[in-house]
Amino acid sequence: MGRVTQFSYRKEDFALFQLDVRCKIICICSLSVAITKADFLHLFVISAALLWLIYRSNLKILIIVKELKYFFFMLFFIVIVRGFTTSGEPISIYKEIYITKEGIIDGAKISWRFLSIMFMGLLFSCSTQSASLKNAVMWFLKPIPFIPEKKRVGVMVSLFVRFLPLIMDKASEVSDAQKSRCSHLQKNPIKRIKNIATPLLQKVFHSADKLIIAMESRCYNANRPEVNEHHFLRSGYEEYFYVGTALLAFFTIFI
Amino acid sequence: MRQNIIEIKDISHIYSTTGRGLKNISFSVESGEFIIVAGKNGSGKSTLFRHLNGLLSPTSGKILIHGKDVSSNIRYARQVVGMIFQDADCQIVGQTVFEDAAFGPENLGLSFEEVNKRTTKALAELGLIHLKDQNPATLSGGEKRRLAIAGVLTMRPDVVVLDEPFANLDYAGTSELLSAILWLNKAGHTIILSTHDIEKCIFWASRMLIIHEGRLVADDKPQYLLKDVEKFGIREPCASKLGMNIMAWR
Repeated sequence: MGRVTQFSYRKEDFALFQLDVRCKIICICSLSVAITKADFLHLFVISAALLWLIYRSNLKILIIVKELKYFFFMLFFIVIVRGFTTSGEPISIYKEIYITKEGIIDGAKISWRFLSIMFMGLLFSCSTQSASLKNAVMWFLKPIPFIPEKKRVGVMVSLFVRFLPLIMDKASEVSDAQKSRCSHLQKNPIKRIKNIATPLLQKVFHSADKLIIAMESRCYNANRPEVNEHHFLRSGYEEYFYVGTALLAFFTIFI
Repeated sequence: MRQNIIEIKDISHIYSTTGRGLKNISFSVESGEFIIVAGKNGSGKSTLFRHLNGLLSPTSGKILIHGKDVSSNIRYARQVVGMIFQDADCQIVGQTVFEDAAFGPENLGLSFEEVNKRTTKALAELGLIHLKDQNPATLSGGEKRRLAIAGVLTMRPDVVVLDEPFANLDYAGTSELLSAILWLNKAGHTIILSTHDIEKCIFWASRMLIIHEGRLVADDKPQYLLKDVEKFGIREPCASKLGMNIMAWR
């Protein structure tokens, strides 16, 4: 049985999963803009709302943390770098090495914002089918005159979201195979990244080749007619999500 | 009288990088046959299969499907000849079982109702309808192969081509898949199946082709070829080695 990451699409009996994908995109864009202005209190409220959605979507927090462990390293790195580069009240961490309190606070805020956006991406990825996303992208691009190949843009965006969980799954496979040969003992981070990246890229491109052949053998072509093109199903929960997002955005930007 | 569905006329295909490929292969396939294409790894079985629905074009020679040249009727060839690949994971396109099975008929431009009807029927026939909303990655190996068959059945092919279908399957998965293949054959589909382990399906095959180093070296009823297969790197079934009649694999 294959592994399914927390980012993989699943079918759940929860409003988020039945939501019109255009509504999800509008909510995510609005909240993402609001988050750039968010302070700790706002981030706390937004994170609480996102964690509730994650819980109701039957996603497992511990598994999410495990799958995003490198992302958490990056957030930690941001905090440290901000600590070293922001001027303010110095705190000695070792002999003559100082970081600033303001830098740490600033870094923590930036990292928390990134984390909130990651959680929104996770919720979107696990609850949205790539076909619906493609239709939504085409719908949003329709009024824009200078993009001639709207369908191609839609396909590209949907393929990216569709294959991101697969790439993560392959990365996890490669990492496990290397750990079983004691790769964790390798201290040089460049070598570690190279050891993972080379087989991962080979695997991804090889799989992509096989997938293209399989799609072609089932008559796929770029001008594939869509059975449900421009067909969006409303769940009836959209208004609640619009109001909730508007309240959160207003609270974050103006209060 | 049975009619020829596929006619392969002296095709060759040489890979420029390795110099290997297919050399002067000719045979025809009649409606309702169950053909095993046997040969060791790298003998050219997969290359041959990819010519059958126009995924590869021969360097010389031609392939006719119902009398139509594949190279100029690719869409027709892909509809008539359904292909199941060795690596089930790499041919899954949909995010749910239903979406994946519906991929082929959607490409054919069928109506929403027709796509739904065909997909529901194919999933039910292959015992996957209760899994229709599941992510295909959560299926077992045998279920993934059956999903691949369902994805091809929705296009209503005459011929189903299976490239090493039993690779990496456990006993239960192999058994389920074999039942599905036999059911397809009984329902009137012509089966062409490649394998290097002929034991599992030899009992049901009506004909066996042996490919060796890109050449078709034998084409006959399986019982006449069994004693010669080891010359070409294929294992002779146990029963044949022991001088017994071939039995159905269970």
